[in-house]
Amino acid sequence: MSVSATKSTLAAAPASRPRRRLHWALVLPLGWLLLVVFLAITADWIGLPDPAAQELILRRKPPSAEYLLGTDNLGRDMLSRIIYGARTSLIVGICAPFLGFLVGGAIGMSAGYFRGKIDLLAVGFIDVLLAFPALVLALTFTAYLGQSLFNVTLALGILSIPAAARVSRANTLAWANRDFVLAARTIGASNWRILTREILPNLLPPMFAFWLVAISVIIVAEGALSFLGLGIPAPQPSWGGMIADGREALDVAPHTALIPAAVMFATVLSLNFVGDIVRNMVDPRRSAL
Amino acid sequence: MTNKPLLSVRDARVGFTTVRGVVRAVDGVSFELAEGRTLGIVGESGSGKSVLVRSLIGLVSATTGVEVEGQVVFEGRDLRKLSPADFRRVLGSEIGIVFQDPMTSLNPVTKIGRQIGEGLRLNRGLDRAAADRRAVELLSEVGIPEPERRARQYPHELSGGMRQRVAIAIAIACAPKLLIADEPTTALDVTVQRQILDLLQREQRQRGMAMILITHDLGVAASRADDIMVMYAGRAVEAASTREIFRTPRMPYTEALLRSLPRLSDRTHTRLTAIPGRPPDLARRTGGCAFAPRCSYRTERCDAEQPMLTREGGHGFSCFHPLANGA
Amino acid sequence: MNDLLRISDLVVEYPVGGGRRVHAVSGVTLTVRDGETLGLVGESGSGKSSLARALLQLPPPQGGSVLFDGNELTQLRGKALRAVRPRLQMIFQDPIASLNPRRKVAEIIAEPLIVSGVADAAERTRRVRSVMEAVGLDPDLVWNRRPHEFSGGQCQRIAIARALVLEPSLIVCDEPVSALDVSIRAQILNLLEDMKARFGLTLLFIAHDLAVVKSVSDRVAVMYLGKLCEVASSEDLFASPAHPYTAALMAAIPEPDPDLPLGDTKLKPGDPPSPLDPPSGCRFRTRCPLAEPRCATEVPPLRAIAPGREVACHFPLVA
Repeated sequence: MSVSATKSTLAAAPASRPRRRLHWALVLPLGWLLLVVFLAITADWIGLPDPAAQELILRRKPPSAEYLLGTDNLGRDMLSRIIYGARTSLIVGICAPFLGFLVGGAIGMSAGYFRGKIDLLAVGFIDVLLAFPALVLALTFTAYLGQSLFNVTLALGILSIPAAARVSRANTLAWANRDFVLAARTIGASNWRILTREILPNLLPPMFAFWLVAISVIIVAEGALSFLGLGIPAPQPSWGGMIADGREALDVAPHTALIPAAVMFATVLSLNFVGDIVRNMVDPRRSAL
Repeated sequence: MTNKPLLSVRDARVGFTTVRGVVRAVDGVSFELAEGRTLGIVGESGSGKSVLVRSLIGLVSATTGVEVEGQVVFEGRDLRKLSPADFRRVLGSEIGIVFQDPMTSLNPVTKIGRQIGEGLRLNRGLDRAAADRRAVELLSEVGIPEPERRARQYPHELSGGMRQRVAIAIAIACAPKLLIADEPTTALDVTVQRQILDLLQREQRQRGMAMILITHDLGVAASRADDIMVMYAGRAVEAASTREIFRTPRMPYTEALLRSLPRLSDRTHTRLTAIPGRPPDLARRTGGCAFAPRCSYRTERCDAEQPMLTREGGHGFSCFHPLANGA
Repeated sequence: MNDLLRISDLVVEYPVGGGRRVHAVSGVTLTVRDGETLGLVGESGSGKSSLARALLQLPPPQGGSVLFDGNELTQLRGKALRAVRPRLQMIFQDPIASLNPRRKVAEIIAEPLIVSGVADAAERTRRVRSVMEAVGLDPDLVWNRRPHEFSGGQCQRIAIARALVLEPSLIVCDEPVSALDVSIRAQILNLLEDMKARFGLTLLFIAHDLAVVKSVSDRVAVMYLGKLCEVASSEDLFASPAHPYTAALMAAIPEPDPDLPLGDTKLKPGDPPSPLDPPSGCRFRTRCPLAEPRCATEVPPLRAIAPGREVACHFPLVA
């Protein structure tokens, strides 16, 4: 930067943005996540065998040149199932918290901004939702509405409302007391305008960081549901479902459970890493240092 | 200053490594302080006045990304060469410290009497009962009414002014030879500020302590300090007796600062003589005088070359174009 | 001169839990004349900031009236209140906190124009540029930057530009220079004086620094624990304070001159009482050197002791 500060008081502070060094702790997890997302999107076009095609003679084969990750209990290609499973897990993992953040975020924002009765009501609602045993709620949901990708996503989305509402309420409380919100009122801005133009832009970055972490929690939760037989119905593959299926043959063909478990582990870990780094980067004052 | 100095600091430097480069918060500062004297260190935020003093007493330690250099001689001992245990002993019993915000410098979960007595037990070997008795005496000495009752209270039960009195009681408990007051009244109201400064001055005189008074308020420095060191951008730019600093400043920054202040003696709507520009960004320092971009006496040399602190009589200044002396 | 703002019997109280209430402002009556700068002085807990926010209806006060240029603000709600707001603006103590860190400087200054319905983007750009230049910011250099890239003094210029862009009648300045570096304060004070002259502004200037207040104010009001002590012209007040509290405040301030002896505040020892439980009668009596039994029982009303001079004291220092 060669901006000179000699224009005395008239010049803006020539503060440069610090160059953010790309660290392996960011590159590795980000690379893995990009790979998973890329494969999940392109699964139909990269010449994978049908993930549902059974070849019962070739059950529980260990990884080989033909089946890179081996086959499962029903002789289905593990690699193909992992990749198609990524698609399912990502749809649930991304959409469920998104739903929860949309609803919870709005509840938390209204509560933190308007305070008073609205806040009491919202906090009460959040507490009720939190007190309800999460798994029981999801069980009831899928049991009554039936097992489908949509219903599982909906159930997990509802479960993520309280957490999202709390994060958004706490952040809104902090921002709503800042003088720039007062300044927006003095110019006659409406509540809607203040919420969307002044508070929301400050809320999005921390919510985004939290959303990344929520994705990982939901992916694991989907696995837990599958384990209980309430996840995404067969034959659609999901990582949780694969682990559940593989569990039966853990002694004879450990790869059928361990490979999807390892993939899930790597994905969840990567999401948490990236989430932490994003959280550190989103603070504008930090980058101003 | 005729006495042998109590404290002598040589070429103190503190650098912080940040994403934007090394910030030279303190860049080669030297000063001496004689017994019983008050040195006012005056500067704006970012001038390095607090960092300088904190580095002397080990509060800025050399960890990753932080460089601390220089020699600190207190009563003939080089503090930076002492073992950690000896250093703590000197700090605990011979140097007292009062910070800006008594709310954060006091421990919120310990009773006030205990906090005052703690230093006495550690450094003077008093038992608990004796330390408690002494704590009550100290509370009464710093002007806290009902000291017995107050000694059993927690910091949050006191007002800001009271808390600062407690902080002073802690600082003087072990009868230190040097009291460091880092913006001790900035968080307080003017009428309370006055009381706290009176208290500090009274204690200092009674006990013959030396004091370093760090402040951004030129009024506070003018009324309380014997000598003043003016800091700008990590350097000492002027050092002299308080009277000389205010009557015949030699460094253009000091003069400009004094002229920019509104005064009660001026008529309403008197135009202020503002200093253009703003203090420099320490991470992007160039050679030359840090004040040059804002200075009305600036020449090419000021941009190219860093002026050293030169002394004329007892008056030190770092400027190539010093103002006339007493003209 | 006409009165632009007339505050009568303003009361601001709020609960702090445990059934206790902070008596922030207790019945203040004050006028601000068109085109003047009224300085409002007080220590923390005096209620000066509560008064400022209450007169802007942020939030509305618990009692009293605020008459601004013929509009009774306490009676206005919703849209009607928002329609008056652009004429009353505010500048805050912490300039960095008063600017949204996520928005660009040009957006921040244009926001008031958008809110008040200036639909033409070219017109907005023109007005934002012109106000930037007025406050000493180079539009081309600052346009797309964000507040954290600026120093405190620069941020205060941005905040002043935002307050000016709607061409208000009254600006409430809440400690506008106390968070700034000493070497920057004079710049901002001069800028406020220039803007006042250029835009024909009326200023309510809140500060605790008496020298700063004297420098900019035509008249000065002194507050203590939610009540006014004294209102007078700047010259009169500083030449001969009539209220013992004003006198103490002036004596407490160290002047930047080692040859001026420190004044005697004559205050009784002790800290200011809490606004949770203000003393009966005169609120200053617990620290007042002149307090007598009458002061504990009888609230001294704010009364005129000379033309343009009001004091709330049973025993004023100026008869």
